[in-house]
Amino acid sequence: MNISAFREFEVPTSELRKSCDLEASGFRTSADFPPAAQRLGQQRAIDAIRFGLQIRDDGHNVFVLGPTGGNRHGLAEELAKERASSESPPGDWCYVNNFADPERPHNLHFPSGRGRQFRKDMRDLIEDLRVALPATFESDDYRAQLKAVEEETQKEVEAHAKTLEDRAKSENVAVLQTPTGYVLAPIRDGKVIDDKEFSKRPAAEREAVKEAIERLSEELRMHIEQIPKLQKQHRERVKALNREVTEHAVGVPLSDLMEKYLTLPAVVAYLEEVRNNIIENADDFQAPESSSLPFLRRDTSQSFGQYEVNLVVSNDEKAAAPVIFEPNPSYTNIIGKIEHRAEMGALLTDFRMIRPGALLTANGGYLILDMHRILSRPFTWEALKQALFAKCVRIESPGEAYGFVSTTTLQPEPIPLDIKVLLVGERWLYHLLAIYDREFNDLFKVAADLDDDLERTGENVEAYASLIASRIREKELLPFGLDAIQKIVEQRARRADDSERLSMHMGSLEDLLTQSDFWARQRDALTVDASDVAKAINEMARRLGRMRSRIIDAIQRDTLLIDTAGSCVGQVNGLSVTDLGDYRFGHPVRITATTRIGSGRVVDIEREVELGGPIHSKGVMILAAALSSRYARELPLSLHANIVFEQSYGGVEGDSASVAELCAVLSSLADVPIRQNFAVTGSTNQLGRVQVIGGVNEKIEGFFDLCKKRGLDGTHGAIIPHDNVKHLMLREDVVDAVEKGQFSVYAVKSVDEALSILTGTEAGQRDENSEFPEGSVNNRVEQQLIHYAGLRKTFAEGSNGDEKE
Amino acid sequence: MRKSDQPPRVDRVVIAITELAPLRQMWGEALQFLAESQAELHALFVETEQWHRAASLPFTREISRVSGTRADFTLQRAIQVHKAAVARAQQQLQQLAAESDKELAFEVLSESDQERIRELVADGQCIVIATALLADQPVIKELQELGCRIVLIKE
Repeated sequence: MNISAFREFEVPTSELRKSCDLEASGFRTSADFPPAAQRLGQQRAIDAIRFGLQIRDDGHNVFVLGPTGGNRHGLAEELAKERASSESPPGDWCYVNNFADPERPHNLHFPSGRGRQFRKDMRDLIEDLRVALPATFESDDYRAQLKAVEEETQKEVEAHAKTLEDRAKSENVAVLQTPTGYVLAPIRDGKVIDDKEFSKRPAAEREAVKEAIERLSEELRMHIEQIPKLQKQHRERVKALNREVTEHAVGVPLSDLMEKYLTLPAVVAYLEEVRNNIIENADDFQAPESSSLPFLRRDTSQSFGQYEVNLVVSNDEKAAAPVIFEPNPSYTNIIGKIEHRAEMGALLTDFRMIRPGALLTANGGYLILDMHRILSRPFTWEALKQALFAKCVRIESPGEAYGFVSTTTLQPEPIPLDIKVLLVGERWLYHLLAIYDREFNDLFKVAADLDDDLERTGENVEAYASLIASRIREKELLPFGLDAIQKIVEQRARRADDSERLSMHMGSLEDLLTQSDFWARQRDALTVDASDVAKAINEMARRLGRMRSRIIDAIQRDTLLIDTAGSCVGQVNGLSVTDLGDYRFGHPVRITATTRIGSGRVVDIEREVELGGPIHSKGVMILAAALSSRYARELPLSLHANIVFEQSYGGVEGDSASVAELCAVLSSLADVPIRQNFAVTGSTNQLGRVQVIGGVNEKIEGFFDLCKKRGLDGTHGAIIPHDNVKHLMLREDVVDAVEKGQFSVYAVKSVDEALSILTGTEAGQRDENSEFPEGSVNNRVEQQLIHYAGLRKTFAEGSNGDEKE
Repeated sequence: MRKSDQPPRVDRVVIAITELAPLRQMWGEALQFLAESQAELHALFVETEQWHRAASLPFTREISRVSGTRADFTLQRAIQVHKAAVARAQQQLQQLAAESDKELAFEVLSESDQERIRELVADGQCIVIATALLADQPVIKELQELGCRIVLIKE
């Protein structure tokens, strides 16, 4: 059979690449296209997100599933903002000092905007008091009152002393003051007398003086004991005076504030606490005494600082509920933190150093987080779940939360949480969490699964073109000509691996637009045209194409042995795809099979050496089953076949080579050579039906590139599954070559069709006698298997059934 | 300005103190006089002998101002009290003089050392700023008799 016999399997050029034609739209450049329809092709995910945003239940947080670059964040943020715009902004939250227990700061809740106002009011109050209180204590009025108190005390002290001194004097005893106390000594004529003079006095007088000194000493001791009481009494008088003065100074401004916040009982109660605290600690607000030693100087700023307000959440400038995306979801960025300041070698903190995390900033609204990043930050995921379960945010350091450290720190009052969290992540992450994290399903009950692609209908293509045009405008790129947009649409189908669908991977679309714009600017163009898009695509491939070039080079130099001409028994060109993430390429691989008499075993050498993946092994097992079910079914399969990917030193995975492998085995059995100007891809089922495979475009192009290098002569071609035709979006140079008759693409539905093309010999169908036509490949295979079965039987009889392979 | 309107000339300012003198108040007073003249500045620590006399009596006790406890007031204790008081007073006055950038002569004399007192006030006009505790002491009486102006400072 010559090639022309297989025309029926040839894929028409019109089906090799489905072109995009937007001429009918009437638009000439991207500037003419209307704004893109909102959220093209993601209706199911949109409905899911909207459902999650609207349902008011604690566990109905949303997980947006989709690949990276699939506009997951954009869509989540857009829909959250849409929802938030219809909601009023939540209130403000402040932390204030807890005067009774400063380590447990209180929170205060305000209607939006009033928290900031309250902070300002308290700052103004502090500023006023900072001036007014010391001034009050410096005033003449206060000094006069203080002096009066001191004089009163002094009088009392002196009165005690004077009484004692007078009594002593009347009994000829002087009370002398030493630096540390008092000495009682006898006097005569107002002067202390010494022992000589004292001894000259009459005995009765001496005794009387001694007795008086003894008695007065006791009274003096009792007087001394009274002094601390008098001092305490004095301090209390001074304190009472200070309180009175302070109360007068703070009374009016604090009453005004209380009046202002009358509708907020918690705030009024706090202001009452402030008033009491200021009055109670009035001494702290007096002008500090100077000291040459810095650590002895009293810092009144600290005294006033305790009345400051730490505004942790402020929504005053927003007209809607907050929508926050936290790009770095570390524990502290999500939960918040308590900062410290170094002072005299110690780390100190107070309520003013409490910092909110994203949970608080977004409280009353929506928080968008990247799940992958959450899981890569220690403690964040557990803390997030804990906050959502507890419905409150407790700001504490991770060390504190997990009991790693036990230093004294703050324990701020938890703030109630009313938030909707939207996690964004890849599908595998969602499914892993759903299976292994038992709390995940309780908290994230809404899954919004983004579609990877969009059906390529005429309507959708125009909408997609509008989407492209919108992105161009958003990114302020040069206008794209209609040919460029058409080219991009075609590339998006290629990206989707399907001529009938368009990829919705927005990241790669934007990359292509940006790079096309770059190449247009490089040539000083005012509009991006199709050549710029093609250049962007080609340059991207070239940048990543080192490995592809090396493989083609190795084949060219016969380092990797691939024939593209002639024919060979048991040897076929398979097609493989190497995926490098952003870039993948196809190239041919040599698959060989050898057969001999055996016990029905088909050995996959890749599997034997553990280089074959499970799906590849499955493919080989299926082809073994296909073999045994198609030929000499009444006889034991007396075959031993070995299949190998020649010069493959890495892993082999997938079943897309099973057709090629089966053809190689059949070629070997039938002793019919396979034409090397073909390459084949496709998987087979047990019935010999050829099924779809992935990467069909790259595979064809890989073989085409090699043949082109060696010279296309019209005999070269690739055989693909018929069901893959709809996925064809081949490069234009491949399509051109096919059009010129230099290259062919064949689509087959069965292994027999592939076998016929590959061998140039009819595969053969069973006739009414259930026999294959004489000379057909299948007939030769069956005859060979019958022959093996006979031989095997003979051997078995000769060895008394003790058969071993 | 007529001659009669001028303040009286001051050649010497004497600060007369004893153990419990209010030094800061006295220093403030002295500075006022020094501001108006180029007078010399002397500090006299007047030793009263009452401590020695009191200490010579076997039954004299010192009663602590802080605790009210009683302890023997011996001659040794009297000397100790006196020396400590002198040293403290000298240190404080020297510090005040340094802060005010003034020269200060400090000396200790007994209440009966009338010869030294006469030498001190022999030439020129002298103002004596004294603690009220010395008001009844012979030294103040002597200074008054020598024509000094006496300013008594009460604590």
